[in-house]
Amino acid sequence: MSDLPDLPHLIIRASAGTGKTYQLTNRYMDLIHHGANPQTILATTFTRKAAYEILERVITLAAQSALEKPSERFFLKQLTTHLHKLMISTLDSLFQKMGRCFALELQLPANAQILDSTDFAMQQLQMQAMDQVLCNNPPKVLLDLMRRLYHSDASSRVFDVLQTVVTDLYHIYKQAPNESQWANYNTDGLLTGDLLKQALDVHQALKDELPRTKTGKIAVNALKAWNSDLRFIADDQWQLFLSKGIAKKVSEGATQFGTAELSDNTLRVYKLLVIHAKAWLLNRELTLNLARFELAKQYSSVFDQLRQDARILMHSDVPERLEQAFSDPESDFLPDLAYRMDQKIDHMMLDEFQDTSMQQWKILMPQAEEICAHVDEFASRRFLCVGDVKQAIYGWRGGCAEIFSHIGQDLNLPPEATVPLNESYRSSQVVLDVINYIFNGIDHNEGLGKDQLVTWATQWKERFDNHKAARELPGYVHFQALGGDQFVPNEDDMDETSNAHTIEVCDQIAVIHQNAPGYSIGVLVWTNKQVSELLTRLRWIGIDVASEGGVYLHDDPSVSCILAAMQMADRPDDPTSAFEVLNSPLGKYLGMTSYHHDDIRSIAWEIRQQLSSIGYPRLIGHWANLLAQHSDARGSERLSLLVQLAVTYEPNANLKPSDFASYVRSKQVPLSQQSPVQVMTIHKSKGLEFDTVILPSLKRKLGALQQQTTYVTRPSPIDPIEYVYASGFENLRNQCPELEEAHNQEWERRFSDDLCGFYVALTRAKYALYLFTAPLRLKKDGQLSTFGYTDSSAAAILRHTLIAPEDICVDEGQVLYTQGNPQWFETLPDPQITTPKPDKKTAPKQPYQIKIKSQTGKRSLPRIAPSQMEGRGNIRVSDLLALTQSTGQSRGTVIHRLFETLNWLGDQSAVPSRDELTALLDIEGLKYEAQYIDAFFQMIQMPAVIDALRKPADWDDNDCQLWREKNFAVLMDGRFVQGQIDRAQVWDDRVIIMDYKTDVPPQTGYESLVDHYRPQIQAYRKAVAVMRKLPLQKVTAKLIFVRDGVVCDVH
Amino acid sequence: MPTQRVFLDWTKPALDQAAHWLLEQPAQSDNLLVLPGSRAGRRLMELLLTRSGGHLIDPPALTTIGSLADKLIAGLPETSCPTVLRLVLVTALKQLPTEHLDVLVPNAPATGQLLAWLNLATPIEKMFNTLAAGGLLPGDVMQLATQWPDFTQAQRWQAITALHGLYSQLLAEHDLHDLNLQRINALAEQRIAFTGRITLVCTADINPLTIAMLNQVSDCCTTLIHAPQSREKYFGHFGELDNVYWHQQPLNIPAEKRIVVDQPKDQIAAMLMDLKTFSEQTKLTTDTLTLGVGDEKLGPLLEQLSVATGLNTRWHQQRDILLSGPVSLLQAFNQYCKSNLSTDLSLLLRHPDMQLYLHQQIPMSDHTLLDKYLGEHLQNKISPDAPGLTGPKDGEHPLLKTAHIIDTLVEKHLAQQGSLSHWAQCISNLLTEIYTPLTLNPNVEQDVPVIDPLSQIASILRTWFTPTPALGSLEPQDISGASGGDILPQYLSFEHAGELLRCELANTPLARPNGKPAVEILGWLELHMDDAPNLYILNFNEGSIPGDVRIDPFLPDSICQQLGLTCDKSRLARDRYMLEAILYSRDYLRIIAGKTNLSHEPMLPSRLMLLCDDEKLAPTVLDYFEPKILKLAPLLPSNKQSELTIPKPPPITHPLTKLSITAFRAYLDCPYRFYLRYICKLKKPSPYLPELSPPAFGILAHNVLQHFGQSDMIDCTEHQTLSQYFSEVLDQLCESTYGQHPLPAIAIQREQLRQRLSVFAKFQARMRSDGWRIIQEKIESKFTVDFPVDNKPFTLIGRIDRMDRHTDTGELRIMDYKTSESSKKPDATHRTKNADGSKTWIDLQLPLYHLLASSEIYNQKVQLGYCQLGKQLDKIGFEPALWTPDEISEAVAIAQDVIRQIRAGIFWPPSDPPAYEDGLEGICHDAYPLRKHEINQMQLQNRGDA
Ligand code: SF4
Repeated sequence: MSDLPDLPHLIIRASAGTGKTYQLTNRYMDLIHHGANPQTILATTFTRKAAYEILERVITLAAQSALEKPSERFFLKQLTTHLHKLMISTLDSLFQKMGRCFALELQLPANAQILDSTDFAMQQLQMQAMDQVLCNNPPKVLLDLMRRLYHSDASSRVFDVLQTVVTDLYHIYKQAPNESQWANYNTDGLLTGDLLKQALDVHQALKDELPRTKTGKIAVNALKAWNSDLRFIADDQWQLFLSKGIAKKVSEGATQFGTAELSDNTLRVYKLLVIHAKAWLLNRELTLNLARFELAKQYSSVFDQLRQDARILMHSDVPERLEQAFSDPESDFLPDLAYRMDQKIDHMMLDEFQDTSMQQWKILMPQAEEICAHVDEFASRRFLCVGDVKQAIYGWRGGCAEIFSHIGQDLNLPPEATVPLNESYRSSQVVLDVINYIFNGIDHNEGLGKDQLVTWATQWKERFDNHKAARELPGYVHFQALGGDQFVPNEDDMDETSNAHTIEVCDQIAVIHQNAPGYSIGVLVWTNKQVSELLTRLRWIGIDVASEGGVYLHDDPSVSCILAAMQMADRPDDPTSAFEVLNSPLGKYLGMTSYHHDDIRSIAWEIRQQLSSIGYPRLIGHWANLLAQHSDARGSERLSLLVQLAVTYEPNANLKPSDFASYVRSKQVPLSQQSPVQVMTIHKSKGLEFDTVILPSLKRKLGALQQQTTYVTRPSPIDPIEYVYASGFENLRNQCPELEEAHNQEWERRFSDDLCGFYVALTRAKYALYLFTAPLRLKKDGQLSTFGYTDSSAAAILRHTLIAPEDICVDEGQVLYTQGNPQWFETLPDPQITTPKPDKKTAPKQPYQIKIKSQTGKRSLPRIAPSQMEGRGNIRVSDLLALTQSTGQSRGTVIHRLFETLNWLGDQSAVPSRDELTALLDIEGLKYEAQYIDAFFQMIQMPAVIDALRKPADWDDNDCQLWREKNFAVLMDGRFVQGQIDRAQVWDDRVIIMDYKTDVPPQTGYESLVDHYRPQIQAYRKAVAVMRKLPLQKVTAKLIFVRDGVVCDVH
Repeated sequence: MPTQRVFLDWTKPALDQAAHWLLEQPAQSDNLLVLPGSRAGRRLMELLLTRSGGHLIDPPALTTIGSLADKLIAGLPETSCPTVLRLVLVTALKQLPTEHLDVLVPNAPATGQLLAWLNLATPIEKMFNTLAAGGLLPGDVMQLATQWPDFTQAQRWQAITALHGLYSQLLAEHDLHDLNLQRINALAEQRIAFTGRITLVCTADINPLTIAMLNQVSDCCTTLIHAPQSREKYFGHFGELDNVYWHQQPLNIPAEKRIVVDQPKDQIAAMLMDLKTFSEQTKLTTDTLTLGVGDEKLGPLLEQLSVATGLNTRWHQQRDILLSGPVSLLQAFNQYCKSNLSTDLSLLLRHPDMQLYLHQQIPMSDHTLLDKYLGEHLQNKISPDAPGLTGPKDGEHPLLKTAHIIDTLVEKHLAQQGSLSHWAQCISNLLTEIYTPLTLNPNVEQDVPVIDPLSQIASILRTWFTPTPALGSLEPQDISGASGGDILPQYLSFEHAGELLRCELANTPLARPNGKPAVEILGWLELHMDDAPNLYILNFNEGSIPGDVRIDPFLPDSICQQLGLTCDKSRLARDRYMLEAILYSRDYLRIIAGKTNLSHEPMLPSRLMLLCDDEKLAPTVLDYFEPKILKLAPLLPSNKQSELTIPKPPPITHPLTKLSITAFRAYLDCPYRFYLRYICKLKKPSPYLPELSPPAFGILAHNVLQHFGQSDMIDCTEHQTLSQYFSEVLDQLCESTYGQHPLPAIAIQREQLRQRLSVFAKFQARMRSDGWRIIQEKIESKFTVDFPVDNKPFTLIGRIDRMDRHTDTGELRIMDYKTSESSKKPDATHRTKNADGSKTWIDLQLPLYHLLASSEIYNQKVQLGYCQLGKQLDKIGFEPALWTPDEISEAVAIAQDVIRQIRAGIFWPPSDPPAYEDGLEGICHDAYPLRKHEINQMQLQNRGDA
């Protein structure tokens, strides 16, 4: 039915802002117009938000055209009837769905939760796993590892260290699970045992062969060097050995030391020892790396088991297992997939393709291949992918832009299937010009500083074509050096924003915001740490900023107060939280009078008790209602969001109320009204756009490898990891080509990622772009310091792009470059196009007041059985939890049943025979013993019983009714009472109720039993009075204690 | 006689009509009323009662459509305990021949891993149930599938069929009865009978199995259908829906009845906004209005967030049973038994019910005792030989007593492995012991959340306890699977029992008892059979109404459809029918949809909303995706100004007369925080970490050095000996605080400290050789010095880590040990650099030591400084502070100033928050963006007051 010839397979290389989503949605609609069934079209992207945007676009597009042309209604209908089966999603959720279809095969636990690694529960598991790893190893092993990792430092933090190591290694281990992959260190020439001993002996004997002065004395410097070498060798200080003295010379190929020639023997021995020293050092690296491997292996097995038990999955689990399953030649998952998913993928549209990882591609590829290879006369299956290798910023997460580079060949698509897009619908030409300058000149930008980087930058440039603005928009670019005296470049911590710089930048942001209020501003930085620093500072100067994902609720005092109460419930001995609660309206409500442990104890217990019985949403809701009255509008809104969080937290609630506080502190919540100023990392900004983009800190060295504990190598970027190395080998790199290679691979990848990040950051801007850097400094020698100048930072690149080389100088506070109109917004038609301000006049400021009459006694009435009234309704826990009916109870049941058979006693009344009774009990499946029946026969011999059950003198079978085991339901005092009356003699104008009891009387006698049963019997009387429309005194009741034949009237 | 079908007027609520009809019939005491759900049944009874004058004699019996089947089978044997059946299924799985097992589970868990097997059994069990509801067995699927083209799953279904065969065989062998099999067999054997009358009330959703059974007793059935006669052909005999008709027939929800907003809380606000207007126009009572939620999570949210409007609402469910007190108690025991770790013990001690129990035996103790102990001693386990647990003279340490009580409970009830009935007894005993002290009354609202879960647990335990003859032979070999080799674990452990119990309890809804009159909040499925004439439905979104398409590894939706089982279409049909009935039968209806859910993920509109006529579709879609923005009122009230301000210090009545030297820094940092810390004495208890916190690490180091200072080793100049000595002292001290088996992290930290100390030993040896000798009597002794300010007395207190005097020059050296990670220089910690190059004092510790030690100084020469013991080994050693006497006097003058201010009670305003967390963030509103404004505001007010 399909006919798609004019829609060839397509690979779109779309630069930023060129309307990728537009391409994708149009294609989607085209497919549908050509008769494709929407549930066969897979369209994926990287974030849920983006996926939803595509879906929203597709549907609204369809709706709009249906509105215009009735003939298009069909297509809209197509979409809406299959709404639940549309495959417009993230890759992640597609894989999760696939995973669930193969849950048994992939050993995915039922009802598993998928959590982020930053999620609270996940972090607890990580902690537990580390704890177990610690316990499983003798401290020596880990100590050794710590020492090796941290050289001479004797750090007192164990978990911090372990955490960085382990979390880094975990994912690498998963991709490189073989020990041999971690052992690729060439240790040839390592001397051991006798050989080493011999070599050392020879070295020791070299003293006589050392170069001599003319006087025949051993040269002092040579002797000194040889002596140190002796010490180095004895202490295994091979690093020092290599870096100093004779060994250094020899390893550099010299044959002299100082001015004197070294003897052949000396040269020979030193050459041997130099090789040994290198090998020894590499061997040390090897041992370290193997220890790391062991650690990762242990951690991984413990952590995975813990997660399996807790039914917690990571996002990576499912694709990992899917990939394994799909790559297993034995398994036939692919043919099964359509059956299991109940859905076939005929068309594939992959967005943000440059971020696809090898793992993800391996799952998708077979299907993509099938689609591209599919040929029938209608060419009915279609492939499309859209991406931009210039925006590949997820390399660190496995994203592999090279797949995108090769995809055309891989899928055997003709060259014309690849289409570039470079016309931006987002940015103003002023902004694009700067971008064009930067990246067109990146291959000879002196700010890069290193040749290696220039080579890679040149490769990167090949992906770049000039960007053109599709629309004429006003724009402005501003580049300025800010920051005062305290800017101290810190080699150890490049991400540390200097204080003065942050302060000045934030002041600038405030000005920019005030200038053009209502326009969106994106402040983009590299790290989360910078985000929080800027957030703190910006809030401090009174700007209510948000970050991507929303705000933290605990920043408001009213929420903080509730969290303190949770902390207090958890730790009543914590005076700080108690103090906070005490001094709040909540403290008064909770009846607090002090913050001392002894006074808090019972309050804390009560809170935990309440949480346990009514749960978080209800208790937090209750408190939020209470506190809101004392809070301002900001707080009140946050309190209502807190109740929402309580609802999402509830399923994972545990016995530690303070965990709720931690949960709230870890969650960002979107407000209904987003702040126009947002601070976020560049990674988070992907897919977004802002009227103004501010890059407050440009000093990160692109391609910097700090904090990297591990390097990996791959034969090519699209291959799996081949080898894994520990990264602490700066000084060994030139000794060992493998290490150099590993380092360079990592460096190149990182540099390319960073360059992409820089590109992404710049291209988020629609109108204005503000670039702030720290000023250049002079070194002591009067030269410009490299920081921000030639250190490959964005600042350095920008300086060399936007300033003539001769003009680059100490530039504190200077505006270095501007272009365009700083008042760009004035020329725009509507000054508030992006975030319309709420119309404050009409939105109410207080909750509505709704009056609805409470009506009693009509609906959803409390329900009760009369028997629940006995003994004032208290129940004994042991009765509640009793596992069997006690003999007493089952005997009671049988005897009740037997009494029910009785019509009348006394005189000529017929009593059922034993056979009849046993038959009855058998049929009804009641468990009984013969002696119960004996007892029954005895009971009905007792005079009082006979009296009670005798047919009354004024009985008339026609007018009167004898009720036995009579069901009834009655409305009484606003309650719904439903029950059963054992026996009642019913006249027109009176009733006698009888209730059989089999109890053994307590020591206090039957009196007290009567008291016990009185509420129940009274309920019967009242019920019968209502049913028979009689005054209560006309309904009498008797308790018949059949055991001893005692009959009591109950009043 | 065929079934009688009665069509009820659907312009009125179904129950209302049903009650009306029933009361018109002659009394039928043998009538069984069958309803879609139990709530509907209760409500029907209420209606019947009200309309028959408040009482009914011999009221009709009630049941739900789900449990009707069992009432129709003659001679139904008692079905076996579901847990036993589950275990049998596990056994069957394990015994399944490899060729089959491999098809189902390519990587089967080891035989001993019962929990993993249970995990596998769960979806299989679910599949059996789904099939059975359609009257099918796995073998039937095999047979039917042969007629389907492209069926690729034959091998898997063969395996499933084999598994089911094995399972049934095991059941038969052990005389166990599975309800599914019983039902299907009874149907096949025509053992379906009923003696009274059956009235089906609006049972639109009946599974094929029940329909088949009803067909055999159709002559005693009457079906009440909530729809006009004109639609009769779209209902079956028993009111079941014609899915084809109902799932695709257009249905228009008028635009004015639809509202679309963003977040869940906006849905609530939108509902309230509409209700406000509506309630002003119409007289409403709590009985005539119902609120419905598509997503049950919105129930409690709605309940809480409507309080401020004065509306009294009630979500009809209690807290999830798995989170209830009794179940979480068992869970906590389980966790503790499994790990035996003190952290899990501390969770258990936090349980309010546990605490109540413990209180009777150890009054005034609570879990903080353990928390504190863990903070100090970092122990994995609490045992008599754990360090620091020597009790008061006349008895055991309360913590040991507590641990003992818990361990006794565990020992007594939970330690032995055993059969299900063993565990039934044990768990029942444990709960009885813990809960017995409580007086429970089902009429008391607070007691219900304990009583209900306990009764549910008990009812499961009873099924476990019922002796099943077969189990004797099943359990030992098969249940926990360790059939070979292992000695004991042929029995279930508490972990297994706990998990089995949780499985049984899961999804048991606990209804909240009815209390004060309130507007009821109900879930979607209850709404059709509710009779309030006015209704709001929230979260009318895809995934909630209708629910998500289930992903099932065995039965994909299209297969379910082919097999006639519940599938997406049938659910859509049901929901569509219910919606139409609701649309007709309500006087007032508003349907509210949201765009994002509670996790802030986007949501889609309900397909029911889009089932409209073609020409209305596009506007409806646009209404959803481009909704008009409503001006919603906040859900909670607010003030103009927040009353939650930073608590201001009251005027002080007793000014401080003495102060520790280290406190000056705090005052200089922030006078307000000083007030909190030194006057209110606020200090956050350190949380339990499985390693030494930096302060604890520091204290350990200090203690070693204090020992040293008081020992006769002070004159030692031999660094190896010193090092050895430090090492021994370290081990001693470590053992006394952290026990013989410290946590692994501590062992590592101890080694790190040892390393630092060994470097320090070299330094110490050299210093002694250089003539510096510790003044032994001053080691860690408390100094006080009079420090009158403005002629009023004041005392400074301090503890100097160490003072050395040079044996030749008499010079004094005052040192403070610094164990923090980085070795900062004294000047860097005491003064900050200003923009103009000058420096400001931020700490006065060392200069004031000078003052403190003044009595010792006799030739003016004093060296002040740090003894660095940080992680960088090359920095270990003495770091002098090179201040001039003027600079020191400057510091002293600042101290005097501080004292003046403290005397004057100046603790306000707070300074900028510190960069690190000190536990006072909350009180000081550190995170609050408007903090500065708030403080200014308070300042202004203050001035106004004055
Ligand atoms: S608001 Fe309702 S749920 Fe919360 S404590 Fe009060 S009565 Fe209980």
